[in-house]
Amino acid sequence: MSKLSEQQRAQLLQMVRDAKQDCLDCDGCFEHLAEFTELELLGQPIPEAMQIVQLHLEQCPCCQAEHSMLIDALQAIDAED
Amino acid sequence: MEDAAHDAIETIAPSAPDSWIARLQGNQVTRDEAIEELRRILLRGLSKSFGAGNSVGMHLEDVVQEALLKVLESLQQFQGRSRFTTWAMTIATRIAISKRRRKHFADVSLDSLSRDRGTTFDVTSVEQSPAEVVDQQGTIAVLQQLIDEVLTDRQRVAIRALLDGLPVEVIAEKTESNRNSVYKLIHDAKLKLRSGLEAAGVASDDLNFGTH
Repeated sequence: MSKLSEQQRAQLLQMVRDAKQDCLDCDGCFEHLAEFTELELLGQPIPEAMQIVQLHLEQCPCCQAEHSMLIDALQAIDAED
Repeated sequence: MEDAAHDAIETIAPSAPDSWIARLQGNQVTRDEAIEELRRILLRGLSKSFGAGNSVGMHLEDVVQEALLKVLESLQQFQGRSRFTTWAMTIATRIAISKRRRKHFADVSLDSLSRDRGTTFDVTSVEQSPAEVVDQQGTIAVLQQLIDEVLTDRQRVAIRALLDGLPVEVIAEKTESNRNSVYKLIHDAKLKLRSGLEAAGVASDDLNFGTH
């Protein structure tokens, strides 16, 4: 049996502590990510029905990374428009 | 559940007029101009978002070309809920980050990892101060028991891989699964551990140790 490092165990505990029901999967999140991110960048409030995207992003590091890079890319486009 | 959520989002989504679709479906000259403009936009965006983090030597021009093909074959899926360029950049970003993940973890084998160290893992052997040991050993013992008894082998392997830094997408590829399934596998495991701890009387606040 392999041992976790202190950091890994802390990460596991945090994952378990923060686990919430998530009604989206990664493809479901992707389907709404453009709209969600655009609202964010426009500084508009995220509608209640779109909170499921926020929830998935909090639970999924993969989608979170894509969201973060998308923001960087969109800001680069807008900066030169 | 997801369908209901999708419907809810549909009702709040404005439809934005966008000339991109018309241009990309127009005559050859119009179409070529639109594709070239979109290529420049995607390259500009990816150069910024991936420029500093492109440590695995991806050719962004190749990524953009693949993204353009994907965008063109998916035009019917664009519903006008965002700007067209935002939608296209979302596709390009996913392609780029997927390529980077696959390249970065190309030499990692989940099979060899689990063969060398078994499917389960030990959360009890982390060094702690004496005070921490007294406060937390009960919680850790319950967590270990849940990991060993409640989780499946696939869940343990996936969680261990995640804790080793492998993205869900890479775990999916190396287990010949798909990203949605692995995400659900891990997410269900987290919820099982959480409800098991709650059933054993461990509150969420009791899981804060080691996270500061």
